[in-house]
Amino acid sequence: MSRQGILATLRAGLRQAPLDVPEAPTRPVSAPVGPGAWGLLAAALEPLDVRLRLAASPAEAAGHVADIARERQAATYARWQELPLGPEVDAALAGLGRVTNIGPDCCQALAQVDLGLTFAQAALLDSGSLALVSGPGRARAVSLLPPVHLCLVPRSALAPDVSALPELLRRHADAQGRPPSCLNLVTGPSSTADIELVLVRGVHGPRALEVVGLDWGI
Amino acid sequence: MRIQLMIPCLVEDCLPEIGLAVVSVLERLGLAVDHPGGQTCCGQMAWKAGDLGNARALALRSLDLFAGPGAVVCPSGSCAKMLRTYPELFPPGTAAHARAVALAGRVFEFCEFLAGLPGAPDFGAGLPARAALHRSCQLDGSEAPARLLGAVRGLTLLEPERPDRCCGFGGQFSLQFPGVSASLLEDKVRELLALDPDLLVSAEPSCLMNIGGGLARLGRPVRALHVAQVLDLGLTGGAAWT
Amino acid sequence: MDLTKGQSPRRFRAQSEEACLDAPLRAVLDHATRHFRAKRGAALEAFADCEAHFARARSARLRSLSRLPELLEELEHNAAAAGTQVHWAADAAEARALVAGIAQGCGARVVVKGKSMVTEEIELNPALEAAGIEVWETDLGEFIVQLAGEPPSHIIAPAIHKSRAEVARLFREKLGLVCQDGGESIPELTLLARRALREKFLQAEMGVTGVNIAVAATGSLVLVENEGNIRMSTTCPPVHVAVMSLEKVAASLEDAADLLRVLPQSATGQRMSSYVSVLTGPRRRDEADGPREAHLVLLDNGRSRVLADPVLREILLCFRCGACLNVCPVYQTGAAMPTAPCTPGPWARCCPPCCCRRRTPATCPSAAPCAGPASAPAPWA
Repeated sequence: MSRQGILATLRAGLRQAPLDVPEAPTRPVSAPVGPGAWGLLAAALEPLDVRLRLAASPAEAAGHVADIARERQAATYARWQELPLGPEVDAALAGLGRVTNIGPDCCQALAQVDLGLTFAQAALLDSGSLALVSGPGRARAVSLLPPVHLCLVPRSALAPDVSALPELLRRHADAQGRPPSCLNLVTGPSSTADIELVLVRGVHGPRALEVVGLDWGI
Repeated sequence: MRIQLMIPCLVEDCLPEIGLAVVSVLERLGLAVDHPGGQTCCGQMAWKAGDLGNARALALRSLDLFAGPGAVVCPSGSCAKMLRTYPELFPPGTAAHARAVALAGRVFEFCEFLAGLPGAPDFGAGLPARAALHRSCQLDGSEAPARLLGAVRGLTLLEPERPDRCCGFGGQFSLQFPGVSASLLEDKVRELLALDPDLLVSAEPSCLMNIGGGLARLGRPVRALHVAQVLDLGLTGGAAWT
Repeated sequence: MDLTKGQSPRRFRAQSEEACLDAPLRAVLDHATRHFRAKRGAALEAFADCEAHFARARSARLRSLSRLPELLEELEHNAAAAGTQVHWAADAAEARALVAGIAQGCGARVVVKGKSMVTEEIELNPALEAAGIEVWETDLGEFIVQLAGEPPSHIIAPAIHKSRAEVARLFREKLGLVCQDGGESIPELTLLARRALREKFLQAEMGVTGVNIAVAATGSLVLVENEGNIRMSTTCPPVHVAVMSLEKVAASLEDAADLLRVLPQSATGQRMSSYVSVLTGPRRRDEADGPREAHLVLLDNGRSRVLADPVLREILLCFRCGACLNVCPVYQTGAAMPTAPCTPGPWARCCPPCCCRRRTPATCPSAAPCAGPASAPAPWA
């Protein structure tokens, strides 16, 4: 069987020529998340053509959501069932059609939606990456198929950089200790430079990413 | 100080004037130069072609030739590097390996050696000319040639836009892929000529032969000189180099 | 130059010599490699503690190799515990047969693919097509070269040798698609590809991708991309098959994070690629999307033999950022085109004779005149 053969060859190779791994330098310490964190996130998002809108209250956040839907001329939206401010968001988007049939094989339905709303379980200040952990009530396609993705970032989600990833996956592990089935780090809208190296935002994923920061004890 | 001179095949057979300039410069700096007789190829061609047997045989020969004490100086980055590679050719623990390690520690590329001498880099040379520098890949980014040339009075040192780019020679590569080699050379020559130099200078004889050939075919009056030749001219009063 | 002709060891030399006479191609490669060098240079300049991070990444790769058999067993165990079906392929033929078998087993008629050099190496597409399956490359660059019937020309930008006019012509002739304004603007062409492939994503029964990093400790697969096509391929179709070059395993999530810190910066100069997916098994109970069935194919294809060689095994540290192409003088002449750079950099010099004899001629590795600059940009050179 190939499995045994491959493993035997690998073991023989390492026996024949053992490989010593020199001590790695310690990982440079990440800057702690401080009072300037939102500014850092905004600065990381800006070159990605992503604007960070900060809200100091649920009402202000709902206002931003309504503004974004209007600016982007969205007629329909879908959101994670599990969403901070879910009712406030629905109220703010009362004039839009909400697509709720996010059951099995939801991709067909979500492909017709204008705006997808999710929230970030972590936002990395260093790169502007938003970590979306999918699961029941948090479908992967909501942040992928609609042309505009709106992501809510609670203050508690702010983290320095990608070194926060292992801990995040462990925090969301299931009863058997398995990481969630899917975690996506989203850094700006989908992009390509495959034709003549010209940057185009919006290929297979969203054309635009909008971020609303929830800047209170959340 | 006595030193042993290692002369690459290419210098011996195609560009002997480089060897003469090396001896002239070293002697002017007060060094006693030995040239152990019976030198052949250092084994680089065989080694790079994967012919370990012949590479070992040639390495053993060099180990005997340069067994004497003192620095071994070589006016080629790639041959000097090959001499330093000898320890890889023999299993650790063998006598040949131990000798190879001992030799590797006292091998110097010509410019490196000079740059380490007291008084370096300014040895009082002067040569009014515009010189385009070709940094050979085989010198591993050494700053020694630029430092030595930078101290030559009257010499304007010019660097091409892509100093890291290969001239296309690459030893047997140029034989196996002459067309690809030629197209690399074409780019290199274009870049160098854009600097409008009087001279092309390098510390690598094979690059000089290759680029010099490219310039000659274009009929451009740009002489290709080794760093040793520039220093030699500069030390002998910068006599007519044109 | 005609890239559609078959490749053979005997013809490689002649084709290389011909390719480097193609002045427009050389100009394009010069432009592209300049672009990537500048992006990478700027990124590294702004990257605090750059050297320490690269050293961490190298250490993570070394740790993988030093325990490769144990880590692969651990990966197999944990991936299986998460519901992924793990398969082992000794060579390209076995891998092709495995993937084709999975496709037939799930009744796939349409397969969508993310960009994957390892599936180039095993020549997967012809095998699936021979089984009557429609295969769509969904990375924009790969899609373009697939339509043109050519191999990819750069690991990061597979279609850099194609101008917008050539792309417009391909879309018109092969797909009957023209831009709304009838022009050749790049955003409009991109939109055409989005629409054409969106349909395929929703239709496909199976998605095939490569793997950038696999985490032994959790059985997770890490996939890195910019366009969202890999997310589409692992979200919409009911079956996901990941084909993995076996050295890509990392011991822990921490090692994976250390690698993610440097991979995008070295490849494209991005602080982070647009999308990084960490996938652990198929969709779980009560989840609305993601594949119902997940497969992982561990491909050897000669790599295990390389591990025994204390010098050669350095190539197994490579994480395929492609940065070496951008300083390689031979690559920039176009001479490497006839080989299709599924194995660039350190692999190009050593891998073909070890791994992919059929595809890449034995004369290829010597088509690099110097070791200096070509090895310089690898994070751990």
